[in-house]
Amino acid sequence: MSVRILITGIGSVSSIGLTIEELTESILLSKTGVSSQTRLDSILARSLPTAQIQLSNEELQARIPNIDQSHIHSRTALLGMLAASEAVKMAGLSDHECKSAGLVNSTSAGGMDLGELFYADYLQDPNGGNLAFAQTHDCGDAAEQMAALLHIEKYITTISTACSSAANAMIHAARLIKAGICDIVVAGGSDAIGKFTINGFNSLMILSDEPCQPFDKNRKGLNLGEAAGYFVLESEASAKRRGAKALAVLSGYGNACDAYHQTASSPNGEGAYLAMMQAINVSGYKPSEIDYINAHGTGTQNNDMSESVALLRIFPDHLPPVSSTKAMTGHTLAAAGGIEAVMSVLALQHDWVFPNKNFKDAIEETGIIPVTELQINKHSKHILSNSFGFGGNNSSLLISAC
Amino acid sequence: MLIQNVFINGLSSVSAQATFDEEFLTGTVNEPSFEYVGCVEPEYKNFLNPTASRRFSRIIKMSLVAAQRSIAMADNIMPEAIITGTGLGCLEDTEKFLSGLIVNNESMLSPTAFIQSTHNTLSGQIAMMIKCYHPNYTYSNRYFSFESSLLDGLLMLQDKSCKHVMVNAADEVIPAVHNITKRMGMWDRHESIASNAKMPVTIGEGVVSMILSSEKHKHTLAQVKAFSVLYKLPEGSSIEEQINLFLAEVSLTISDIEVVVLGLNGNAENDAFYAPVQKVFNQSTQLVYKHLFGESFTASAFSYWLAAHMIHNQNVIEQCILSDKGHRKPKHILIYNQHKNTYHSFCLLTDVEV
Repeated sequence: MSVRILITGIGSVSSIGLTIEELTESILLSKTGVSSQTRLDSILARSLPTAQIQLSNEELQARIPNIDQSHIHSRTALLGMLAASEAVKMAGLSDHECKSAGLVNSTSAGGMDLGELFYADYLQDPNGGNLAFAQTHDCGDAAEQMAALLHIEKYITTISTACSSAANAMIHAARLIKAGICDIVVAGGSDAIGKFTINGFNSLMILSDEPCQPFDKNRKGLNLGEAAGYFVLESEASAKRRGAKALAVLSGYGNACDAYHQTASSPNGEGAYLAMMQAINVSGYKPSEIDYINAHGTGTQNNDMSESVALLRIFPDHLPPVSSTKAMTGHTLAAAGGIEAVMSVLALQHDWVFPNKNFKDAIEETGIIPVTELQINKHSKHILSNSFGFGGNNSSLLISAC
Repeated sequence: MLIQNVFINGLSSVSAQATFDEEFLTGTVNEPSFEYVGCVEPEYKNFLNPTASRRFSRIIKMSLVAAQRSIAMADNIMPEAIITGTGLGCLEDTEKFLSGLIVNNESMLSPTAFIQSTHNTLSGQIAMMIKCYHPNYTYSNRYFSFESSLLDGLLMLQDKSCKHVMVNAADEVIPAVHNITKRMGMWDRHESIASNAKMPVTIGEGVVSMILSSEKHKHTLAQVKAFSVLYKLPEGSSIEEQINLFLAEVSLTISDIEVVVLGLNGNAENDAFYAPVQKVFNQSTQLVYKHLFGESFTASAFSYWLAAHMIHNQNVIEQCILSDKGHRKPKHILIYNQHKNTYHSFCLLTDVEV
């Protein structure tokens, strides 16, 4: 790439930590956030394991000091605010610097957590329901609230491409910086679990009733999780001007469409293959230089098979270490690409490779054996992070050491 | 942002007006009412495989036919990116799944409505229809939903990562959402009239699909010369200053702009922010469109459809004139949309020869 896109801040909130520090501790303990504990009032959430953040909206809100108390915030917005403000703080951005920055948010369900509460009352009475809840329903509400909190004024937008959303937000952010439209962009994704989402995935019969087992031949499906993962992305010139330290570089990115099925991946993993190849090509590095792949690896029959096939097409002779961290965080949908890219930065910083928990036996057709224990002395220079979504929307980010 | 070599080579729209068959361009007008006016929808069976489209909601079908037509107009090229902006997404399927889960108490739900409720269904279904493996994006951010899609498409063409991109806008109205927005005092004709707005506007819906290419061809409608978005005006700046900066980038001045298309939406508070712009362009012919197309998060896309056709046909669409300054031939059209002094966007479309 002509302009280097630097990562100068990261922030995350998930079932295994409300801050980067807590996430780091959880990784060292190989913790999982997947459990039977539920905060969500849902029949399904009580019977299926999920990786929820065990704080109420009020408790989350109390952790955001300058939040506009007069506005009702969806859970998605609250999670986004927490993680994005952590990233902004780490990058050392002043309110003034934020004013001329951009925000590229992403979410799959937006404020559906409040939207569905509104609609239940509305169904009883067309004049019923709290309109303040309905106002948070659309995807753009969270971005507006986050921009207000962070004083971002130049440009805001939101991407909604299901489970590849946050990765796509980073791609759009990179294009904005390369074109000189913004020097600094806060980008990432946030999703909360609501009844709509858990019932939707259940209707597709891809939720596991046990902790998920990505890449295992006996995998039974995915566990939903909630999270937010955000970045401050910045041009090299801007970081130099501010004296900001780069944590890592977004050295490549790719997005491709599988064009196969609305919710299933193709048997040859075409979309995944194209996205990964593009990310590698954009970076100018070679497949052989990739040190670790943070796979999408949801634990569904279809994804893991298709992604494995794509991986073997790119790395026919020597597959770098691969793992899915979804057995730790659950599948956090739009946020997945965000939190997994955050974890990839941590992997570069600490020389880690993450464990693919719950793996026992390889898928016979592909034989891929992921990393199963946390590696703490495995130096990487280039990490590929995959996020694949409905509509065959496949994205891959290449994150490199500075 | 100055744009180099971007041409609108394909364009199609399904809206409350006769845009799909382009009868609207000959003067046909469907009068708007207090209730939302549904789109003038084509006979889908003439365009879509009936078995495949049986399960599709209106917004999906409208998006697919508009995409087909814009591709056909652009000599059947394969777009190297599909980017769709939608403010509220696939509402019909969202409501179907949501009411099902509430009524049936989280049981016996069919996945079809859920699958088709996600925002990226539209871009995804278009890609599947034409077997397009290239990048595929969906933006959903209120009054920037379409503008972000356009911006992303322009950036891809400018960095030469591709030659043809498809940029779409899509929103649909369902009765519940009309009722809810009315309760919020949004996009409502009664509210427009009560607030003494100059122009009453009702909630609207529809799709626009365009093919932007870095090469001209025989059907090219117009050229995109400059584009800019600003969520809020920079501190201490004014809209007048921003317009001058925008035009200065393309070495033009206010007097070069024959026609401006403005997104007045019948809300007095909102429309007050167009007043300084109307004053600046008092020598240009001023057009509005939301009184005929309705208001939604992606209604601004209709202003692009109108402007591109006006450039191509070298005439002004009479039904949209707010104030006329003697019909100079439109060679430079400025499109300006905003919402309550946020979500400002400027686009300059010109004649292909200019």
